[in-house]
Formats: sequence, structure tokens, C-alpha cells
Amino acid sequence: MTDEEILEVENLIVRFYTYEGIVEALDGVNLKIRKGEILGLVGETGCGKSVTSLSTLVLVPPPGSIEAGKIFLKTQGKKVNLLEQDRETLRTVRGSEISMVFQEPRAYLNPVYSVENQISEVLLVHRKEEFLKRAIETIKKKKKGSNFELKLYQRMLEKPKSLTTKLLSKFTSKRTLKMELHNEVVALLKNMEIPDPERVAKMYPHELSGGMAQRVVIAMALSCNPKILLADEPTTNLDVTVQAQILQLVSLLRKNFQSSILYVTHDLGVVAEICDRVAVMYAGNVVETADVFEIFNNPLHPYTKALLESIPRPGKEFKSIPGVVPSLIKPPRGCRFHDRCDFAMEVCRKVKPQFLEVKKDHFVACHLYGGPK
Amino acid sequence: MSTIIQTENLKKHYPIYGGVFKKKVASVKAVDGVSLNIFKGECFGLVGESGCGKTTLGKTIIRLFNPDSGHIFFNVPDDIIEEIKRIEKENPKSRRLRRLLEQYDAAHFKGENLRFLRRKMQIVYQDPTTSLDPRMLVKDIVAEPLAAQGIAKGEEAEKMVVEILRRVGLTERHLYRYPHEFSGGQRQRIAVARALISRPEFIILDEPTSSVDVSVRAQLLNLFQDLQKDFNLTYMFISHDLSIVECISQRVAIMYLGKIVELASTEEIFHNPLHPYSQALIASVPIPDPTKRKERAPITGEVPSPVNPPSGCRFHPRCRLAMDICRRNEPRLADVGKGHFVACFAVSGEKR
Repeated sequence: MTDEEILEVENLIVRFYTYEGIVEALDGVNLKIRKGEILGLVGETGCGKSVTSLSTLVLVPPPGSIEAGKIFLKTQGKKVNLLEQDRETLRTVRGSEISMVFQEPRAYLNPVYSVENQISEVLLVHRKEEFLKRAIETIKKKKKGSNFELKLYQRMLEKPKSLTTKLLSKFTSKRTLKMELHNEVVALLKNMEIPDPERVAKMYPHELSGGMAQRVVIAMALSCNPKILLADEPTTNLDVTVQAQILQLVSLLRKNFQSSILYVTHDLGVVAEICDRVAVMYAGNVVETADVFEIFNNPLHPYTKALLESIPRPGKEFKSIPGVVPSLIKPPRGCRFHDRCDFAMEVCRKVKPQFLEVKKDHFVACHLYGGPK
Repeated sequence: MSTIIQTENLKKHYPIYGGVFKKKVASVKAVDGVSLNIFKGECFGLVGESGCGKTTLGKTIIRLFNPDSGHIFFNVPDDIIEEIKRIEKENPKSRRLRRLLEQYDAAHFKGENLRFLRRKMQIVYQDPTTSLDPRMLVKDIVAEPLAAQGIAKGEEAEKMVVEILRRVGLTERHLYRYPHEFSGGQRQRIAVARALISRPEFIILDEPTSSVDVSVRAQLLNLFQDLQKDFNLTYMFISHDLSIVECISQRVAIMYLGKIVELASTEEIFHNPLHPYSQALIASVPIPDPTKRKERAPITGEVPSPVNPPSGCRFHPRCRLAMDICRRNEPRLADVGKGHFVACFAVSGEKR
């Protein structure tokens, strides 16, 4: 693992304009994902974990909008601010550079298309040229398929925008291309350790169990070899045994594909199990980031401490964090944690703490650890 | 310790209808022969993957579902249970047996008997947003069991409601509010108050903390423990979260496909699990400590359909210890000492 940052989120502010008022969902989020690491994003419900991951894809749904901040993605040696790109560029980024896996896999699979159909669609959107070339090669090599097919694929490569090509490609069978896609889909499913991938490829989402559906969604997300995978609570609705299987798969994929993973979860057990670094979120702020060992052994922010203490351990009393998560419509001023914090000082009520590097690679946003008073 | 609940070979199958005439074509064997004892004053944990029949077992014990066969004894003296078993063996059609069952076996209760049972057994559901009527005031929600049971009315009822609300950490300010005005944790408190107001002896907690956040979860668990002491309650804690069960229960049963595969004290289950399924289940719980990361081999495959469970031991297709006998015969829940029960041929060494 290198220390090279592949994605940098700087001071991201996202607001939702609802009838009840302005929801300040993200209030200056800072996040860095390094190459080949699994970064865990932890926090309670409604703290902005999912909004953070959606923002990195510039996919915040209305009435939300990204108000300020920068999202830098490193592609081909260049640093690109995603928030300044046009829609076409973003389309190529989503899926092929950054892709996402959601909590409820069945909600993100179309019930009327087979698994193979849905994964092929992704492949055709992002890797069409590659597959056309492959199909042409197969025809030339094996002398299979008609001359017409060969001409069509060449035309699709050369003049993809012409109306004739579009009409022709729409109403012909394209058997070789479909074969190529099918092989790729089966290979992808096999990578996800799905038993009998040929059969699963022909299934429809309702025939899949929860764990299997999640594997299909992960296969779809990884179909274009993204550099960054955003996993938004991918195992929350699964059983522990299936969760263990998926977690094993995720760490295996990291090894095989060298992609960086942002793993959003509220389960500290999962974090301890697979993450390299952890970012803790509270009410729209990242309050602490550090190495996973550092977070568990030497947490600095009072919220992180409280969160770790609320893990049930046998033989000990259950500890809870007093109070409730504040509403983000009129969030507390200063540090948003101050009214639940045991160490709250006068300054916490007034000034928002800065996100500072206290130790090497250990960032905290808390007045207890310095910063301007 | 005295037994408060004893079930004998309890079964609950859901029929599946099909064909032109909507005949019964198959059945989902949700609970398929469960025998267990729950002692007075304990918290009995019931653990298993989704779809293994945990909730069905709970609801069948308190007669929200009618069992297909089997007995449920609630606060019945041992000698009567013995007698019922004896007569059942000798003369299953005798009139005396039928009378005994109607009087003592909760699975056969009807009318007034059943209504009284409801007073003594209550349930707290998983998701308070759906288990509380959105159009009723908190006052009416909590007072409903009083009206249904004919315990109290009017001012007297309101007094009891206020008292019970205080016990669960709410106040009389909350009386005239609707469920949507509360947070998830508070809603669950309302559901607990409703369950407690008829002064039950036995409460089923069906995943009561799975819909709330970690910080609120601890508050609820503390509340459950306090209430258990104050009201002398017996709990059956249904959950798939093993870390919570480990902290709150004294004894734990692990369920797989409608059957109990292992039952023992919490200590024993978590430190000396014997059944291969229990071992795999406990090993797959992530430990919140990065220094204790382990290379583990999670069990492969998924839970088979309960419509058509595998022959013999139901775990054998996924089991690493599976032998020939496992495919043919069904293992019995056998005592291996210290109140530790396991249903596995490989462990108990039983040949049948």
C-alpha cells in the first residue's frame, strides 16, 4: 500500500432544501482515500455517511445540492476536480473510475431483466469499444459469424453516431458480441465466488438470495475495474454468516483488483475486521480519522470514545451516549457534539473546531487537542 | 430454579396452496419439533439466521399463532406435566387427557383461559414504527391492554398508564402525543410500556434493538435489565446479533431451519460451542478489535428452503463433520453434561 491519495474530498458542504427548513447534511467534510486501502466510514444513522458517498459521485439527489468544496480524483496522473466537470465527463467517471454498491441489493437490480442482461448493459455503456474489437477478432480468427456482422461491428466502431449504424445495430442479432459479453459476465460472476455462474447469469433478481444478490451487485460495480469502490452498508441486511462471506470477498477483491474501497458502515465489528483506516462521522462532520489500530486503541475525540464504549461487552454494563443525535435543520452551534459531550468547554459552544493532524496520520476535530481558541 | 415455560415437540407449519383447486401442496416447516424449558427470572436468548423460525417460535409460544402440534406448559406443576405425558403414551384418546390439556396446555387454550394467558405473556416487536398505531395517542396505545383485559377504565387506567410510562423513562407530558412525534428509541419505550401494563410474567423481545442506533441500543438494553429486576420478568430475547445476546442472556438456544441445534448457558455457548453450526455462527461474528483479526473459513452456501429441508440432520449439506448417519437419521437434542444440549451425531457420539 502506498501513501498516494487517489481521492480527496475537501471541505464539502451539502445542504438539502426541504419544507421544514434547510438541512445542513454535510458541514465541511474532509476525506482522503489512498490507493489500495479500505477506508471505513463510521457513524450513526443520519450523520451523513451515505450523502458523503453519493457526493463523491456527484449524485446528490434534489432537493439536495453541493454548496461548496472540492472533490479531487486522480486519473492518469492528473488531479481533476469532479465538481467542475460537465455531465459527459462525469458519466465516464461513474462506473469506470468510481462505482458504488448499495445497502439494499434487490432495490438496485431491475426485476424484469436477467442478471446477465443487467451486467452486460454496464459493460456496453463503459467498455463498448473493447468488446466490439474483441468480437471482430473472434470473427476473424475463428471464421465464425457472417461477413455482415463483421462489417457492422467495424461500422459501430468507426461511426458510432450515424443514424444508419444505430438502426442497423438495433435490429440485428449481434450474436458474436453477445457471446463475448456473456463470457465476460460469467467470468465476473466467477470472480465473486458464485457457484454455477452460468446458471446464475440467466436468473432474475427475485430468484437470488440476499447474499447472492449482493454479489451480483458487486460484480456489476467491479465490471469496469473501477479505481474506487464505494460500498454503502453492503452487509447491513444480511445474516452474520453471509456477511462473513461478503467481507472475505471484499478483502479478496482489494488484493486482486488493487482498488480502493470506501466502506460505509455503522458496525464497529466490521470496521475492525477489514478496514485499514477509519473516518468517524458525527452530524455532518468527519470528527476523527486514523489508522484502524489507532482508532480502537487510542481514540481521541470524545464521540469516538463514546461510540467504542457503547459496544456491548460481556460482563460489563451497557454504556450509552446521553442525549440524541441533533436535528440537522438547526444544528448546534460550534462543535455539533458539545451538548452530548462530557468534556464540553465554553469554546465548544461557539467555535467550530478545526480538523487538525494531532499525531502522524491521526486527524481530530476537537478543541481538547489544540487549534485556535 | 423453577420452570415457567416448557414446550414439548412444538410444531408450526405454514401451508402452501397451489393448483387449480388451491389444494395444500406443501408446507413451510417454520418450527419443526422444538422442546425447551425456560426458567423463571432468566433471560433466554434465541439466536439464528433470518428465516430459521425464531420469530415463529416466539409467536407460537405466546399463542399468536396456533401450533400444529405439541404442548406449551406455562406455569404448570411438574406432576401434571408428567401425568399428561403418561396418559398420552398409554391412552391418547382418553377424555381425561383432553380435559387436562384444555386446562393446562396453553396450546389447547380457548376463550377465557386464552385471554388470561395474554395478560401473562406479552411481546415487544422489532420495529416500533409498524407495531404502534399511528392514529392513536400514546395514552390510548398503552391503555389498550387494560381495556381489552377489563383491568381498568377511565381515570384509574390513566393513572396506571402514567405510572408505567415513568418506569420506562417517559413522562405524563408524552400522554397526548402520537407515535410519529417520538424518536426510534422512545417509540420502543412506548411499546415496552404497552407490554408491561398488564403485569405479565413472560415477555418476548423480538429483536427489539435492531432498528435503533448503537448509542440508543445501550439505553434500551439497560432499560430491559432494570425492568426485569423490578417486575420479576422472564425474557425470551430473540436476536440475530450474537454480541448482544452474549451480554444480556443467561442461557442461549441456537436455531437452524426450525430446530434447536444447541442449547446451553451463555458461557458454554460462546466459549465452548459444540455443534458445527454454532461454531461457524459464532466465528463469523466480527470482533470489534483489530488486533484480533482472524483468518476464518466462513460456512459456504446458504440456508436451504424450509419447504423441503434436507433429510436427516438439516445442517449436513453445509457441515464439515458430516457423516453417513447424518444424511439418514435426525439427531436428537442430547444432554452432554452441565445442561448443555446438542443435536449432532458427531458431538454426542450417539448412534441411532
